Parts: sequence; structure tokens; C-alpha cells
Amino acid sequence: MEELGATVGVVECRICAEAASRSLGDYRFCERHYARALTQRGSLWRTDVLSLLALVAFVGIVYALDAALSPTLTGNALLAVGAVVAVVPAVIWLVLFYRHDRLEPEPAGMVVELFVLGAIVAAAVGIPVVRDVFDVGAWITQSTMTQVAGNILVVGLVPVALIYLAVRLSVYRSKEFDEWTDGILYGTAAGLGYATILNIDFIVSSGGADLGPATIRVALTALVMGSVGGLVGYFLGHDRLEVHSAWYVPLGVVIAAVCNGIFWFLRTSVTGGFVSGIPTSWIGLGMAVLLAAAVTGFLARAVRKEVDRELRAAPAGGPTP
Amino acid sequence: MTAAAPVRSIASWSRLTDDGRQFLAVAMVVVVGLAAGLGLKLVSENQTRNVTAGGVTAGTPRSWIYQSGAGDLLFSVRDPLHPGLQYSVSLVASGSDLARVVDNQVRAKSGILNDFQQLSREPAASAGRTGQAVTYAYVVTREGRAPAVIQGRDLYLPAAGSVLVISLQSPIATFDDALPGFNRFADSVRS
Repeated sequence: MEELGATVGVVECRICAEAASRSLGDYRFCERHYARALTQRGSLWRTDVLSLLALVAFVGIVYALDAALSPTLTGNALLAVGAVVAVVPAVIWLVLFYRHDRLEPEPAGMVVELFVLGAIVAAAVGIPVVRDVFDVGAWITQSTMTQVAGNILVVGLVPVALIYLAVRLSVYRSKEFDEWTDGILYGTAAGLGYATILNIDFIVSSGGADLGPATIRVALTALVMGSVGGLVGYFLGHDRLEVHSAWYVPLGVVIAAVCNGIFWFLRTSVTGGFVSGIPTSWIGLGMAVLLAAAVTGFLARAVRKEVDRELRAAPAGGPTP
Repeated sequence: MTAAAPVRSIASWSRLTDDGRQFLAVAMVVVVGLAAGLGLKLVSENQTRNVTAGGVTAGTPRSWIYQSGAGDLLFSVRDPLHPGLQYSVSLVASGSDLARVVDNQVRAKSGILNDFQQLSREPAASAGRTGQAVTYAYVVTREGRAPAVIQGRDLYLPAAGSVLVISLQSPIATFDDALPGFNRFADSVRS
């Protein structure tokens, strides 16, 4: 039985074509990519936490301004402001990411590419499939059972499957996908792209929306889609660098779809009015913040645990940088 | 011979790379999930509840809103998600033959509905009973709203000394889509 991290015979690196001298699970790596695979990208977690806080602050500010000024936006002005609000969460995340990523940079275009891909699959496939093919609005509210199952099997699964496809068919096989956290990074970017189109669609199809409630809805959607995108990406990243059962990534897709579906089920269960004096829209945002914080915390812990395990199992001296 | 296909499948599966197996496994999970979602949609859409009024029973879509009627109208149900789409059932005393009842009903509707146009009149059958079907259109005008064209179909079926009138009303753009559901509803009507 071969020891983890042990030097092995001449085989190609899983990431590049160079001779492999290290192993991680059943895969072989050159020294450089072995070291990169075990790099923990601190900038990602900092970005996630800061953008979460920035998003909550953004919602609070817009809500306060809306309440104080009561702007009377109508028609195209309302649509334009709504569309700007719809892209703010993604802009916040991207700007923060690039600010924190200067010391350990990913190719600038790659993250944006995944964001755009997420947006394209949402507009071209995701929204038409959920709304027109499955026509969920017509039947999902029939019973609690249809709400739970429909939210998981359709509302939850379709975006998750498309985010998986966006990452899997683009960056997954590239040399840039060489760190444990890369999957989370690219998955989150694709999820935010998906969320941006969902938000624009929401604003446009409702002919514009009141600024305060619309901002909550936009932030909530971005938090949830970014989180489930990160979850899918975690499983893909893990699978890329360490061999697993063929069913490992499908398990990740199922977990992400269940999280997504259960969130939307709970969110739609508390629509309208107040619960204990708190507007339900704020409760929905609170749920999204909790989900995003829980997913970020879980992913950070899981990656740290995996990397520590590999480093402990590696021969004395650890991986060569 | 029967074992050949599974053996070949297993061999093909093992020839795939790790990444290929992963992709195929995800595709299988997604296809199964979406198929289950589609099944759920079909089951939900076909779920009905039985309503009874004036000795007539019918299976109406579960999520539709029921409203009891007065006079000849026994009841109507409408789809809360598609404004303007509704089914109704009436029981008309037939003093004479079916054709005469149809004539009287069409004449009455042309008198009360704006721009009433009869589009077709043909023999029809439902749940083993034969009768006549009339398709028509009219215009609904409301203060502050653009006029809307409604298309309707009345199914006239003889029923023990009376005539059962089973009706569909739908915005003209969605009439064709509404017909299969209406035919299922008509088949469920028992007197």
C-alpha cells in the first residue's frame, strides 16, 4: 500500500504534462502542483465573509434610503435602478475578491468567464426550463409534499446542475484548476452569474420593484446561489485533486440541490406579512445570511481539515514548494 | 445472451477515465432527478377533487377555486393562476330535443355576450354519451382595461330528461392548451 504523499515512479502530473513525483490519493502530481494543491487560499474566505457583511450593509443602506426618501420611480427609471441593484452583489464579490487575491492571483479572466457562463446558462436554459418546461408556478403550491419535492427536484436541481456544467466543461480540465479551493472559487463565480440573471429577470418581469424589498430579494438570491455554487465547486475541486468514487460529485450535486430547494421552500413558506413583528422579507434575508455563513464555515473547515490530513500524511519535510 | 449487455456496460464504464465516470454519474443523477420532477408535475396537474352539486359530480383540478351556481348553473371552477380560465356545469330542462336546447342556448348567449360569434357546431361525445359541442368567441370589455377575447366551448349531453351543459371559457390565446384538461374534466362529469 503506497503512502500518501510518497515519491512515486515517472508518471504524468494530473494537472500538467510534467513528470509526477508526488501522489495525492490515487493521482500523481509534479512538485509544483502538489504544493499548489495543498495551498489554502485565504483570500477566498476573506472575500466571502467581507462580501457577506458588505451585502447586508448594502441592503440596510438602500432600505434606509428608500424609507427616508420614498423615491417615486416608475417605468424605465424603476427598471434601470432595479437592474443596477441586481448586479451589485456580484460586483461587490468580484471587487473584493480581486483586491484580496493580489498576493495569490488567479487568471483575471477566468473568474469573470465563469461568472458570465453562469449568467448565460441561467438565461438560456435555467430560467426557461424552470418556468416554461416545468411551469412550477402552476403546480408547486398544491401541497406541502409538492412544495418540498418540487423545490428540490426542479427549483433546486436545475441551477445546481447548470453550475456544475459551467465549471466542469470550462475551467475544470485546465491547468488553472490546481488548488483545493479553486472549485469553490469558480463555483461561487458561476453561482453569482446565475443569481444576477435571476435577479434581472425578477426585476424585468415584475416591471420594476420597490427598491427596499427588491434589494433584499437580490441580496438573498445572490447569497444562496453563491453558496450552492461554492458547494458544487468544493466537491469538484476535491474530485479533481484526489481520486474518489464516481458518485462523489453526484453526491455533492444532490446535497447542493437539497440545500437550494429546502431554502426556497422555507423562504416561500414565510412570504408576506410579519412573524413576531419582523417583516418576512427580512426573515428570508436572515435565512440566506445563515445559509451563506454556514456553507462558508463548513467549506473553510473541510478544506483546512483535508489539507492538514494530507500534510500530516506526507513524508517528513512536507511537500516541496 | 442475456448477460451480454450488462457485461458490455460494465466494461464500457470501466474504460472511462475518472473524470468521464464522474460526468456520466452526475448526468445520470440529474436526469433521474428531473424525470422525478416531471413525474411530480404530471401527477400534481392531474390531481382532482370531486365536487357535487344538483346531483352532478365532477372531478375538478385540486388547486382551482369552486363557486356554487344559481338557476341552471350548478357550479363553476376557475384557475387562480390563469385569469379567465374556468369550467362550469349547468343542467337545462329539455322540453324538446337536444338540438332545440342547443339552438336556444346559442341564441341566449348571442344576446348577452358582446360580439358573440359561433365558430363551430359539431357532434361530440364524452364518457360514452353523445351530444353536440359548440365553440364560440366573444369580447369582454371592462373599465380601464383593454378588451379581451374569450373563446368558449359548450358540450351538450343528454341526461335523464335534462341536458347537461359542460362549458370551458378561456382567453383565446390559451384556448387550445386548455382543451385537453377540459376534455378530462368533461369525462369526469356524472349525473
